[in-house]
Amino acid sequence: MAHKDVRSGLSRRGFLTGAAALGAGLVTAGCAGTYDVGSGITGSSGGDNQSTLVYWNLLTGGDGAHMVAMEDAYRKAHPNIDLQSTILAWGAPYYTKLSLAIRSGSPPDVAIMHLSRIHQYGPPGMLTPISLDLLAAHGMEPKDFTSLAFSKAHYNGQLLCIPLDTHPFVQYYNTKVCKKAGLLDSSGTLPPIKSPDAMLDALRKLKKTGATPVVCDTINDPATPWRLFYSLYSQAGGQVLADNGKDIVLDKTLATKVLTFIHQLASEGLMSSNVDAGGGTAVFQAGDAGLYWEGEWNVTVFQAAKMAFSMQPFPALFGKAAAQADSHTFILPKRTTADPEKTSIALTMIRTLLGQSLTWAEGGHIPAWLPIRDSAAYKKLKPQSNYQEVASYAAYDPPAWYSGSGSDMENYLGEPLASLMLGAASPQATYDQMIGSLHTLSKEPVPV
Amino acid sequence: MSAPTASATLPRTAAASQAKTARPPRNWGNFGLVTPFLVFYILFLIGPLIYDVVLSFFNTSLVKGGLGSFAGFGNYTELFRDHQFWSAMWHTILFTLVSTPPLVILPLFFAIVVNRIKHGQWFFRLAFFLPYILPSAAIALVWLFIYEPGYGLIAGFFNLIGAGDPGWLSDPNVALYSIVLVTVWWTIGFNFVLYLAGLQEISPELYEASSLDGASRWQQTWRLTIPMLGRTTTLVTVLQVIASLKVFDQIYLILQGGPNYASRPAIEWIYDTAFTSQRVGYASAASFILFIVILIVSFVWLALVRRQESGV
Repeated sequence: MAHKDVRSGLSRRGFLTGAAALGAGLVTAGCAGTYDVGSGITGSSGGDNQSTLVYWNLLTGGDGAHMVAMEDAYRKAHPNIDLQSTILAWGAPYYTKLSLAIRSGSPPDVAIMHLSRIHQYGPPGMLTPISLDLLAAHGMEPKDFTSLAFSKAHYNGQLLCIPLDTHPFVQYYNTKVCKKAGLLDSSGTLPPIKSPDAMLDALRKLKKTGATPVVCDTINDPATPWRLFYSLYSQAGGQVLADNGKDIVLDKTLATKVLTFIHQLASEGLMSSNVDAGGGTAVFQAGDAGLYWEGEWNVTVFQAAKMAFSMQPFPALFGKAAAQADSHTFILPKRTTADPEKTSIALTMIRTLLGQSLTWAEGGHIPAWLPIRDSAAYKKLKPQSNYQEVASYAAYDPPAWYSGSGSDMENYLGEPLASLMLGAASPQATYDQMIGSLHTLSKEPVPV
Repeated sequence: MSAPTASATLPRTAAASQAKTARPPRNWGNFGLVTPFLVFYILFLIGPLIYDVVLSFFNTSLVKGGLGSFAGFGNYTELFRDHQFWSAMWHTILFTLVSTPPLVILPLFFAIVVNRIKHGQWFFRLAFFLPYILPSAAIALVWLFIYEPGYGLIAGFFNLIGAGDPGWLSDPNVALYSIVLVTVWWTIGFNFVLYLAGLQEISPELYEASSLDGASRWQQTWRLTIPMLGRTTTLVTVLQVIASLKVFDQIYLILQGGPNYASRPAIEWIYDTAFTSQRVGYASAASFILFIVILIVSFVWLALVRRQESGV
């Protein structure tokens, strides 16, 4: 075939000259520190003669925005410290990078860790223990923290992390839809639902109004099915693991009771689960659903949408009050050589951010820092303060090297539970798969 | 991308067989010329491969220093009894079996059609190739929106015609096929371009000659175009099989291997085992097995090409 002579308007020499000019421009901009482009490409932080503090977290969306606001408050108060904050993807990707950074000897100075991950980071000694004296020297005392979260922040008697919040699984409800179904009391709030039958009854009433009774997502999100199951199962007094994960104590009778209830929600068409996390939020936001079961962190989305809704603790259907929860905590990753000065800077930064807990609470989380949690300002924060009691009976994931936020256990149990919620598996099959997975996990060689 | 590497290995092996027969005087200068390539090859291919094999014989952990205790063939024997690994391998193979035929046949069809277009051909070339340049993360977001039940793009269409939503992302029997659909749309452009290049290498004289002999358009396509594209088809098929065996991004980003692990491919299993379960040694053994499988497929391709070359 004939070769076409292609000539573009730009000659090679012209292109190279342009590229060189652009590159030189970027370098100059980087040196001048005027533009972030240059420093971003060259990797320089721009600051001279400053102490840097590297801070990693996994907070995006509303949480991310609140954290940035808190960081800015810190930067304002401590202009001599260059706080370098890095946001990484939530879940396993974050914890992988954190582990590898600590292993390779170049960890961040401070990082966020879910409290439930302490059983993975504690045993191999990847965290710097914080003495109570050091804590007090930076203006923090054990009595300043939610007692449950603070006691769980210990491993082998040592304090390994500093809790920032408790973030439980809660119940959102659309006040307009619930009112239509006749579920609200005279003050316009939803009275606590106290048994599986009462819940079924309420959901059936919601269904009659033509609304989706309850939304709880499953797709691409095994954590949510796990949170639903573990909340109900903990209410029934069930335990999943013992002896730090070596023993499986999932109780067949209790589990079957809970699984059968979830199955009924699915088979009666009372629960919509064929959505991913974003989809669930969208359905509730659109005003199509009566109830929404999810962590409290979506509150700002619905507030921004100016919709009629409220929140309450996840209803205690199976006995005692309990709801799956976790805590964001601050950790000081272990370094090859201790650096007391850096540790001090880090603890000051943690104390400053704790002082900003009201900003954090706006995102839905219950502050672990009691001076804020007990403040009038927090009590006025609605609906966020409606469920603050959960911090005292939060059900944290059972301790094991394979459990915790975004862990194997959540995934391996969440996937069959998702199938159950979608009506694709029976309670018996779900139980069998769950117990099988737990046995597999507990028999794997302990990697920590 | 796999295409340049695959074609780069060919001349090298050809040169090696030549060296055996002719033995030209050694020219050390040539080594200097390949050094830059060789350094990267050893650093990023051979090195990690050896490291992987070593790790596969140890109980290496992600969160503990060092290699860990020696496991011998323990990881391999455990692997052969691990049904989760084999079910993940099966998903990879099933994905390959289902995705390869459309990704070989559809681009061929479209390439032949587009090659006939006289005016504005650039538009069709661009249209088919454009999705291929998008990163997997963008693809995942777009298709999540399309598949999302309730408010997704095609859910609305299904509701409109009164049919139920097929559970694109939630039905364990459907999810993997949803991913095949995504992959066909996303990567069809690459194979399409290979075919288009192949088509343009067929000499126009052949068409002139055959039309003088009275061949119809259909006969020309069937008897002339497709046979002449034989080598391209082999290339496309094998590149496609290798690419499909390496499936990971779109499944991980759209489904995380769900629902209930019904779509988790081998590479995600390896990733989960190494980085979530933190069992790097065990995962290394699995990735070595996957490597062997892909290697065997590549050798089959080499054998096919050799036979084709000697046949011509």
